[in-house]
Amino acid sequence: MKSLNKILTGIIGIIFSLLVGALLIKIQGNSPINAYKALYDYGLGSWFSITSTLNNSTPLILTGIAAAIAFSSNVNNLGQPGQLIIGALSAALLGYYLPFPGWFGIITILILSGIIGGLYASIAGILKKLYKMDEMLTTLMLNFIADYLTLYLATYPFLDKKSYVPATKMIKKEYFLPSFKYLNSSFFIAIFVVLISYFVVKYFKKGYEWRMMGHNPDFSRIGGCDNEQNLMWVMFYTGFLSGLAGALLILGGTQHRFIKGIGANYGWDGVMLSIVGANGILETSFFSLFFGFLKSGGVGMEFEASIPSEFIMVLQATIVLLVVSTRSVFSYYGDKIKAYSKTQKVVKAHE
Amino acid sequence: MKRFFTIFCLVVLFTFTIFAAPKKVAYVINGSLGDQSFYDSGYEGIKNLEKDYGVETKLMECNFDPSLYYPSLMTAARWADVVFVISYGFEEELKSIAEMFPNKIFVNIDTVVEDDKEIISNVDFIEEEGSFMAGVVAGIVTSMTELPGINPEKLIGAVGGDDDIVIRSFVYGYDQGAKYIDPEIQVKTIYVGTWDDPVKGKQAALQLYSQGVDVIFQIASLTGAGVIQAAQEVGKYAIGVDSNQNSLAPGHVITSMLKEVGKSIEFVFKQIIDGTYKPGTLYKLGLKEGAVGLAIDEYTYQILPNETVEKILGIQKDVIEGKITVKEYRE
Amino acid sequence: MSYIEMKNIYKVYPPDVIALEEVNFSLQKGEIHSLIGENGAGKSTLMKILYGLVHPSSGQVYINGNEVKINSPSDAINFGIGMVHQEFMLIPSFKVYENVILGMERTKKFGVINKEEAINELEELTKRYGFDLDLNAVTSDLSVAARQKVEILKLLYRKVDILIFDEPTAVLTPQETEQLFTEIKSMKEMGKTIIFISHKLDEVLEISDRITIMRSGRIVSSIENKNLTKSNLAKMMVGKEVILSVTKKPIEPGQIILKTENLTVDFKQSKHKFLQDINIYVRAGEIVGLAGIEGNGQLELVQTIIGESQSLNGKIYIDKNEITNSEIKERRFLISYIPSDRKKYGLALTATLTENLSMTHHLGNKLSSFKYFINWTKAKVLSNNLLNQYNIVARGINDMPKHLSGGNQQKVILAREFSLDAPFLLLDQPTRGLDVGSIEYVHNVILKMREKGKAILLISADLDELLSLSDRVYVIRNGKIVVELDPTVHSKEEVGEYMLGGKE
Repeated sequence: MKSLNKILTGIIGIIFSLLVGALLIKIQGNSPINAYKALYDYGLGSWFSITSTLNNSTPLILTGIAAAIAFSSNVNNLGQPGQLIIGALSAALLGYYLPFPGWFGIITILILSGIIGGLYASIAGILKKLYKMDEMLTTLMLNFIADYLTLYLATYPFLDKKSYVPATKMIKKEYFLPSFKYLNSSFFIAIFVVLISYFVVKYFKKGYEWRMMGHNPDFSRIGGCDNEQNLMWVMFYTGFLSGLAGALLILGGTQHRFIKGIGANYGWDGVMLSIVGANGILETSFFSLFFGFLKSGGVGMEFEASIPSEFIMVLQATIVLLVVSTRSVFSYYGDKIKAYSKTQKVVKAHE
Repeated sequence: MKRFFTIFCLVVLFTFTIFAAPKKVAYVINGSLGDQSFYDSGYEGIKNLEKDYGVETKLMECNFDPSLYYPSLMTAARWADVVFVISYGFEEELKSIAEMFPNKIFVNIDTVVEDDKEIISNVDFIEEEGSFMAGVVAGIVTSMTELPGINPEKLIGAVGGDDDIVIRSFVYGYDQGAKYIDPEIQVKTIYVGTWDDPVKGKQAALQLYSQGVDVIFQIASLTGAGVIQAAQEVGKYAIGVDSNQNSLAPGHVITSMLKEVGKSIEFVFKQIIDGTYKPGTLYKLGLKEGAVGLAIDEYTYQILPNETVEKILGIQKDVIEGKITVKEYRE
Repeated sequence: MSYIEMKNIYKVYPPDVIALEEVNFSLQKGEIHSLIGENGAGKSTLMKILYGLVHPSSGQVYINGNEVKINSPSDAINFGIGMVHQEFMLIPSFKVYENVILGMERTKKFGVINKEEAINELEELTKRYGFDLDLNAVTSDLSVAARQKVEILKLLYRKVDILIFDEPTAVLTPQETEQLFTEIKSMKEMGKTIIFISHKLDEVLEISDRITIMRSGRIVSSIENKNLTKSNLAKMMVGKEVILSVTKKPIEPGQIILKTENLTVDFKQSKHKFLQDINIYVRAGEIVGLAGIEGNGQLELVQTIIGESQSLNGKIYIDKNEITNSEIKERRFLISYIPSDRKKYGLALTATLTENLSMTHHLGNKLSSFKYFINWTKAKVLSNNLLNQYNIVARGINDMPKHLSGGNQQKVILAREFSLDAPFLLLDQPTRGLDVGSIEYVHNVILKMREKGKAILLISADLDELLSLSDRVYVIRNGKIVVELDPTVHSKEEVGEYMLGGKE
């Protein structure tokens, strides 16, 4: 019921945002109807569109739940972008150098890249533990380090000499994740990981301790949970998810190599999604599908209605703002109205 | 026998589609418009196609977001008859999509993408020749200590976007040109690592100027706009790239190395209309073809005396006539 | 005609919590009028309406027969109504007179504050009301009682006629309380009208002219303070007979459970006094009280026992296990802990009751079928049992503590901690802020645990409670145990003197 509530207020916020978006399109002198028709056609209108929506949402689901799990545990991990590209670079290099055969290699790459992403996130946890450095700042700074480190590695030591942009060599063909009728199998991996994460957070003792730390860290500490250790675990786990997202981009995407800019905006989109999904794992995954839809539909809007793809970013930001405000407006005025009618009832009863 | 027939039919179909006059042209770029050089120059050419041939055109910008490369190109390929594409970073995707649409025309600009089935044609600019001329200009100017802002040090600079093959060939030619004037001239290069951040371009330029550099060749698309700003601020010189950027900071942009992306698009499209186009062609365009070169206009004369400009044009003539050979980077 | 008349006041807090229902309250000029009731009875809400902090859902307020709208505290001040809150609103780094005139500064030319005039006026005020207060002292150096005086002075300086005191004695020692009452009485003589909110019945009987009793959002009765007894009032407040005295079964204490040896704590970052050579013990089946004025080391002792901070020297044993350097998790198998700040340390207000009740229980294997997992079916069974056993009023095990009353929140903590079955109970202010009914309940539960043979260390600011529950009492002052007393022998006043340092 609570989940449903989050999703419903989310959808109402999205509808408002689409109306605001329509207004912006109108002001720019385009037709909102044509634009949204293109959005629909390219995002859901055909099997090809549906699969590209699902493919687009794959990394978003993982960075989204990474942010959601971190935030709901009161761990301000804002390092998803960095952890993602570190994972992506690891996967690209492993995919080129690893000597393992087929599926075994794929599983090894996915797990190792996730672990590397997790260890990268853990740096922030260690800095917090040893020097009480705020993890919000350190994870943000680690993003820059990841950015420049991967760019350096892809420009110099691991550069594919044949490439025109900073990029590593392509991974072995046998490590490409197969697609079924355009739908890449990385999507199923992401869904599988969502279910595992839901289970971990709900049924593991550790997951329970994470959530209680999110509700009230003093309470969990006094209750006998080791908050420092739990922070490290949350950092590692959410870093693992982001690193895995990066690895899936390499094994399952279209590039199959690390290329400058491959992280796109997946990390930050994940942070936005966790806000829209109110830090719920299932809710965030649901809205990840919607952001994936916007991404694939955005291509159509640009192509069919000449609306620049930046518009989608504006729309995403509007959605975050409006969903959050819709939630608080609903509960604030909902409560006020309830209070008013209750007063009327009580006063009448006394007259 | 049946198989032979199928292949025959395909070939007929294939030829037929090529000779049918194209109606829809798409322009797919990895970056974004508004750089006042490379991508804009190409878009100008596309707009001219609309005017000259009455074709319908559409634009897809990927804003350097690799996740958009595949869907954008796919969308364009499904719709268009002819796709002009600047495919930095998605060469592999271009190959696989071209194979899905063997009867459409793909013209790849500025890089060389070779597919086994020879569907994609490539327009390769001989940047070395153009940047050789830029190097010549920079070499001459850094020796003219009578100009304001020129120091006796024989140092010139270049600001590149990424450290990649194309930019290295620019620098390679630039270095040759400068050394042609005076072998003692040294070139300092900074690769900024971004194509759309003028602030970083400006920082890099200011750093070079402070090290004694007095002329900087910008090879960084929108990032390079910052280089020109920096030149104006500290009273030094810059050389523009791709489009004519001389007017951006009068008195400070000596010349621009043109890379006529738009003209090359019109050139290839004319061949398509004429029926002389063949898929899988490699168009190598240099100084002789007028695809690269220097923009010399009143802003140049504002800075340089006539005889100096004539000297530069003389060297250019020697290159075109083959008296001077410019080495290419990938040799 | 009454001075203040509040008619047919209703207040519903969003979404649907009825705080006041058909309340009619009247105040006569120059009286000391007490407002008593359990927590959540509505007395604070009613006074916040009068002071403009809360807006009534329905109803009118009259001053001298004229209807007025009080929209904000500054409106209230203009009407001559002022309030002394439980939490003081003072700037610690300011001098006393600066805090008093803040927002009311009279200036000379060029906006310079007319310091002399303000100080002269304030000196005159303090003299008239018999306040012993250094106007040039820095506020952060003052004691709690002195800060309260600054708050009162602020109101007198603003020339209010009605002063509302919201549980002013909760933070004071018995001696300071006496002092406050003297001041209140002198204010009455100067013609001020006083509203006194409290749930301490002795005090109310001592000071009031008139007493208004509230219960669950309504006024039960408003009567002259004549021939009233504590049990009369308690019965009206709670709505049923309340047993105010505690009856303890005699129990022969068992072996020593908690023992500290020369425990010394040095807080580098804290201004609080540290602990010095604390040697105490608590035996099975006895309640040991720790008396002392707040800030004399109680907090540090509790934190060191529970493991929030480390000791510099000395040792702590529980049930023969040395826990001096153990982690909180290990200690929690031996200690049930009721923290004084229940919302900060005792509950996750936005989590479900099941989740709140499972805390610490989850450390063992009671709630799991496999080692690393929680079996929520078991957790729900436990929660349902506790809800019934401790009479927690909630909408079910999925309700959240933030929706519960203070008493029920405390019951949730008690239920969780007492069902841990640890040998040692550490109770830090277990009844603070609770109403009479809940206090009675908590006392009974504590006594039951004593009968079960638990060793109990009780810390309470309420001396009556401490003395009636405890078998032995330690007095702590300046981080040292000053004396060990027997509550059956020593009186409340004697304990108070040890606390203040009048007796060594």
